[in-house]
Amino acid sequence: MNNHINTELLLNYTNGNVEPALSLAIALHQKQCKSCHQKISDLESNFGHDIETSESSDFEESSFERLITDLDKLSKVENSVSHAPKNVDRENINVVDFGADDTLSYAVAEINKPLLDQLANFNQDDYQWQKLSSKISTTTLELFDSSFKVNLLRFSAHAKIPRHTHLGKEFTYVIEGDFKDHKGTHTAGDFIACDASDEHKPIVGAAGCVCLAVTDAPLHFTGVLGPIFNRYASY
Amino acid sequence: MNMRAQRQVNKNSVYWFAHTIHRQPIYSFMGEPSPSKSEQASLCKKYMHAIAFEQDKDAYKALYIYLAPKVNTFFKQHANASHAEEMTHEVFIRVWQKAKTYQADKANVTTWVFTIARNLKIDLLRQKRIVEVQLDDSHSELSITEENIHGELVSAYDKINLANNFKYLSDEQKSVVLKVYYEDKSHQLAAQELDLTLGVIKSRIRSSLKVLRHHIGSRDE
Repeated sequence: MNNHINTELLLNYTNGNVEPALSLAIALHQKQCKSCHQKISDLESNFGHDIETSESSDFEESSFERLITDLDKLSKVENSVSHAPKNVDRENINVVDFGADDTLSYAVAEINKPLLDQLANFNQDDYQWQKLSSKISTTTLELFDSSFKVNLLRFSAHAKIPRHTHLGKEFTYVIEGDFKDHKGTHTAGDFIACDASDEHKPIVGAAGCVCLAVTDAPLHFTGVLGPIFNRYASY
Repeated sequence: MNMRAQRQVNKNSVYWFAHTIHRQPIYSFMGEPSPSKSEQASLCKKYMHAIAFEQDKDAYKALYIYLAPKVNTFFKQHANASHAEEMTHEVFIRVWQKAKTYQADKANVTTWVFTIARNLKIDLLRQKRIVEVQLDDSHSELSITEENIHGELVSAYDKINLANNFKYLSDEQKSVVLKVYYEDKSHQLAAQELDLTLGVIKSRIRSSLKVLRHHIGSRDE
């Protein structure tokens, strides 16, 4: 099933106006979804065009000289540090500096790029998991995001996730495996947006499932075991 | 005139032509042809090529004169207006540094420059948010932010005084403090040059400043 991101969210993301945690989830989806990637590229080119057609603001004449002075200082530092030979060809650049060409394609803070790469090349052993039940474990990622909490949720095969609603917004990115709910089957790479109107009881597929959950309020479990789960979910 | 020199002349005249138009837009009212949008786009691509593969500063200047005032407008509208010039400056430093990663067949120069500007804006907001979130954290010992210690230090002691206390810092701390307080680099730039994350830079600054403040303070009493 194709879960695409709505245009308004894409617009805000592309313009760099989305909270860090949410932009991380969108960037992960962007890596996997050609159609959203294309839309984001189109929006970027529109924004670029906006810059070009905007009015020039007053600018100091001397600023270019200052720029050159700074660059000279920088190149001295580079030479003294000198990691890579200066005249490497394009092919080598792609190899040496992995992803250098597309690092600007993601509207994610520089400081969160390592996390983005780590999640994109996901390995369960990189994280410490805390058990919520025999089939569900979780770990919290600290992004210093004041609006959203970020959790990884890991479900073993055929786990049934207790029926729950969302008190606020929840954005889920499927990292591995798949699960099924009233909206359909969600597989690796999918991005799913839920809000208070979505009460669901997802069922995990045969390979288990790992999701990145970005929530602005804890999940609210409504089933029989709800009260117990709610205690954990509020952590 | 040998061929290389000839080429140089031709190239310079092209840039000169471009400067004239951008510097004195009034020329277009006087009947000088102003480049069309697609001509402008391919002109920018030529500049980028020259920047990336010949480290051509004339091309860099032409691109700067054309785009910097517009990028400046972008920051005035979309980020903190008082930082606009500084951020425009950063954008063009990256244009130079990342020139080889620009792919002319994939996007216009303006698109690429937009993504640089956008990501800088994100970094700036990110920096602010992290400080806010940490300050929210009531039991954290970060009530002393690097900003207010910095202010304290600089207003009370000159940089030579600071240098006398450098022996108390580890080599790692020294390298960061040098970049940020002596070379007046942004945290971002220091992070790039030292090949560290912004978070590491910030925490090293914090720890260094604690050490320095302790020693400067005690000597003073």
